[in-house]
Amino acid sequence: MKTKNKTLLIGWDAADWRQLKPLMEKGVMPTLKHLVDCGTHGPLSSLEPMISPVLWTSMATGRRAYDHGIHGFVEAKPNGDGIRPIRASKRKEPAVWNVLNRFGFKTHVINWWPSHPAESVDGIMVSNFYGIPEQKNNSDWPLMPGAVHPVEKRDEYADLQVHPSELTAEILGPFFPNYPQLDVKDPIIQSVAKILAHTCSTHNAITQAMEADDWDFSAVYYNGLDHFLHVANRYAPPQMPDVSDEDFEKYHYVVEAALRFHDMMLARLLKLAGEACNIILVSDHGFDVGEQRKVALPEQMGAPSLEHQPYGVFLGYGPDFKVGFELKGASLLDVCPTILQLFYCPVSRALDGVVLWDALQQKGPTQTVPDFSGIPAFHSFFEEENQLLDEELLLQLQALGYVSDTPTDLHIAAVLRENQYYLARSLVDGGKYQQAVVVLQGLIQEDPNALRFQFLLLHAAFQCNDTVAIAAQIQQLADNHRGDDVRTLYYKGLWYLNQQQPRLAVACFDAVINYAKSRPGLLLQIAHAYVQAGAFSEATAVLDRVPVAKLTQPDVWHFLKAQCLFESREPEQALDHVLSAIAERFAFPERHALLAAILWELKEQEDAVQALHVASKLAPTNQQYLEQLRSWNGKIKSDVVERYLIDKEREKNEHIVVVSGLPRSGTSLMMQVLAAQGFPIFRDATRQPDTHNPRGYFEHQSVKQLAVNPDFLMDAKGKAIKIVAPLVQRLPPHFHYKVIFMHRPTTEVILSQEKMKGASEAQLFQFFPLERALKLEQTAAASLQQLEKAPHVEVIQIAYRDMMTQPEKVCKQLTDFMGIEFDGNTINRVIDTSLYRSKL
Amino acid sequence: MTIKQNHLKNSETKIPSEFWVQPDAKGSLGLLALGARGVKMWREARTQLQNTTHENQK
Repeated sequence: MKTKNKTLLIGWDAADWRQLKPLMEKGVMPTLKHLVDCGTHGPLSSLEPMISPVLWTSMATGRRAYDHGIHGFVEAKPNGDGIRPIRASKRKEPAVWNVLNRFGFKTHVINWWPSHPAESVDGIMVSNFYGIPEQKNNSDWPLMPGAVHPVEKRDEYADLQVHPSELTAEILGPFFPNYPQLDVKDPIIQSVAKILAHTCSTHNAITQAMEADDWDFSAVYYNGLDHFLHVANRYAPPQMPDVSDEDFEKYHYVVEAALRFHDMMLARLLKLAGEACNIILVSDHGFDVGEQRKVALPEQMGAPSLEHQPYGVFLGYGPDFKVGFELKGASLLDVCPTILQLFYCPVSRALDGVVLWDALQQKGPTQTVPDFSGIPAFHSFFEEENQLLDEELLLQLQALGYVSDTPTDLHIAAVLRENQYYLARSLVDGGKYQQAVVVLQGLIQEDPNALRFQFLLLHAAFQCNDTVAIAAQIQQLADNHRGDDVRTLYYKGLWYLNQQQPRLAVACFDAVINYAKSRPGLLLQIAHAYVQAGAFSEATAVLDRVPVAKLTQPDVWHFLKAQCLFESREPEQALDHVLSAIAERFAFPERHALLAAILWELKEQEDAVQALHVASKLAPTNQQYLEQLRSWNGKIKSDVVERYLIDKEREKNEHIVVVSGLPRSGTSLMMQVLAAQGFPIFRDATRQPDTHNPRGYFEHQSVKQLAVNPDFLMDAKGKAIKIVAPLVQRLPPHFHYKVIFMHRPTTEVILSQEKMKGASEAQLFQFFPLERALKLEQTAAASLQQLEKAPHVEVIQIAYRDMMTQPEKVCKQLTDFMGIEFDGNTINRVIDTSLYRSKL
Repeated sequence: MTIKQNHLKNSETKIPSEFWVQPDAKGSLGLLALGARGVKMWREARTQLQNTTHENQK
């Protein structure tokens, strides 16, 4: 086995390079500056929802919230009697330390959120219930049960907890240099004392573990920075208009002081880690800075997370990391697989992230496994309740504004609904729009007045083109007298665009623009809709009205502007704008694709190929980028791109073959053909053959759960699976599919379906269900349309009648589509024309 | 109330800049930044100071 270096993972909640870099330059964060200068660093893109327990669990597991199971700050108590802070026991996926333990590495984990009760790791684990004072003074402050593993270490760690009441003016003074008479009743001072004490407790625990016990991997999460920012960022320079001179004078230094203290702690960690240790410093999201800071937050649950920004920090330093390298495009989901790679452990193919090879000194193959089944997601020695501590932690969450403070039954239901809302946001973020629609429909039923549920549903429904849900939701908003709400008008405009009614769309958007003068973000959304619809001159007119200086995301404006300029054949100007967009935020493949197109137009062909290569790496399932890259690379040869294309070709062969179409359109027959050809079939024995399908249905029961739980598709790779329309619209985007879509005249489909129900042919011709036939046709058309638009799907339509009457034609179609030779005799043997009973 | 009033009485003078020192130097925040080792030293020093003050008062 190869030698591995130790690795220390440090989490600084809410750290943002825009706050750190000025202090590094000022010379007050020398340790961080040294790590940046001698390591690899860059932004780390966050996930939705930007809620710390959700994000830190994604960091540890490499999975999104809908997979790892941690959906919010709180959970229902097991007895249903109220809520309590979220427990690690809810985690459904193994964390990086569980995998490392399985491969024999010793791990210390301190204060990860959530990590209570402490898991029985091979090493030390101190849970996030450590260092939480449940009373006002530090006398008789016992360590919480279940907070430390192994149990025999309890006393050692209990003594290292720092209580806020221990902190003296000498300690707190540097946070308030212009506030000599520290007032004990000042709520900011009280908050700073609490946060600082907890930060010290965390730091004491990690330094103790690193110094006193052997380890291969240590992870520590400091939540203090996020709390310092929520409490005092508004007082930081430059002075905000609503902050009085007196308050500014007193509190302006708190955030800088907090960051300086983190730098000092970092120096200690570096010393204890030693030279042969990799250091990874990460944050889960960024934070509002400068002019971006909000004067006030809306009164809604989870409102403080509105101060979070989508880019946190990544820093890798040590023997395995590149020196002085600036990393781009890293995601929070990449941290777990990268750590596993540092230890040469296998990486699960089910993980959502990738190894950050660009950050590492050496490249090498990643050993992968299908999943981490067999490695327990969570294993603790402890399951006792602690009512007092639950209350204290809930109070902390309330104080920060994440949870409201009236613990009635209604409130509890609202809090748990909030978790479902977070789940829906995670599903939208992960591209699982149809599943998000289902979750949001449930939420709207429970709380029909919550507009944020309704607008998120509309957003998700537009993404997956769920026209039924869109129409129903717009109608519901109109019924609830919200038809003139500016956001409703925006979605109505989108709906009209979708329905090819541009005049009505323009009328809606014009109304929105008049409302939205003070909401430049909404103007951008309209410009985006116009660009999507190919209405570039309308988009340009809207973009020119946007006050760019007021935008929180000017990169979006630059990108849209670049698209419009490129369309109006002004590539040089377009180039400036797309480069600005990429410089601001890198990890958007469509920006690199546009850059590539512009460069190609400007005859910078080698650079164009490189840009498209980046786009394709960022969007690995986008077939359009791949095809273009193949075509260009044929003219401008690049070894790197060539290798990449060969790898992609190999991956493509792992696609899932989906046989689809309306029920009774010949889907079972096509499955029989594939089976007879020797193609592996994904089916179970639940539905047996009957007189309507004497040779079997070739179905799998899991397909019925596709919208809710598509995980079974992992096992369908390389096989054929039957998924009828409209269910086929819910295929998740992270696989490649070859869809064989069966076409049969709707009248025949209806005849066949009605006969299954026992109706006679004579009855049917007398009372033909015309309305249902129309609906079926719409369903088939919508399914087909969506499949044909999806970049990760290839579709072929096969006519049922051709199978009956021209099998040799079907044989050729399948051979061309599947890339494997189909035998005409085999098809002939399968097709039994006597079963073609419902025909016109 | 989470901070003891008597701890805050000593804050009348401006905090000197040497509190912002690296962890291996002296200073209360510097000691706390040392982690487990530092907090023990800091507590010992504080106890000693309190004992001395107590003796002087007697």
